Amino acid sequence: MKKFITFCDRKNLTCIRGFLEKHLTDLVSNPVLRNQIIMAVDEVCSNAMIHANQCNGNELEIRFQNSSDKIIIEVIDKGRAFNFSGYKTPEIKNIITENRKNGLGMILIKKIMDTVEFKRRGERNICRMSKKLVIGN
Amino acid sequence: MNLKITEEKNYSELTLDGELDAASSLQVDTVINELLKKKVFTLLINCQKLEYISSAGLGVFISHREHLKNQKGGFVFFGMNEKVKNIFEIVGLDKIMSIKSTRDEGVTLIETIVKQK
Repeated sequence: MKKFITFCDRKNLTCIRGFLEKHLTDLVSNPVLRNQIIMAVDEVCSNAMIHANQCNGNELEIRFQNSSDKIIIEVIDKGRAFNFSGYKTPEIKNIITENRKNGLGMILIKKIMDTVEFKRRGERNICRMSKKLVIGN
Repeated sequence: MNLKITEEKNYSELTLDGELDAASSLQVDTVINELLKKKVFTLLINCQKLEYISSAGLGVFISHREHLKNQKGGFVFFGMNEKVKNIFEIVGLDKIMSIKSTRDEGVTLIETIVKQK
């Protein structure tokens, strides 16, 4: 397992994407698909930084592991819990008609990743995402 | 992210250079708000050097889209790489935003919008 530990500050999103790019390059050769996965994780991290931790400098950990057929990425923070089961993902058309800046992130995460789950373990929030690896991609 | 604004006669060109994420989207939003204060409602968005866009970046354009439209203006994007264009496509924004391949195509469309005012 590969780990990357950073802090809840929007400026650190660039480093997180760099960490992911480094470990995904050999697994996902298609740059468009690789960018989708990086973006989905970037969305989870920015939500954790902004909404769960108010960009307060708390620690944020990203764990990356892969098997022959899938990758698993976890984002761990100690901020406010996110009630994923009670969260109703907005409709894209509503975001557009309401001129909203927010709301697209979770839509993209769900569209891109095969599985997404949020759990609370003690003081920690754990978002675990997986994506199947397809030969040739 | 580096931003450059070029003021043309009837529109402004905003060049995005770098990565448009939850951090840099604040900067882009501020620049667009400043242009709106100057009554610039027709914006050519140069994406030739845009390496990455997140939902926060998309959100900036969604949030201003209707205001520009109401003023008979709008955004015209050009020069997107495949990664950036794909993110617009995933959420269907390529169907409601004006996206052109080249600068010439973008300028032609923006001049059409300006003439219709």
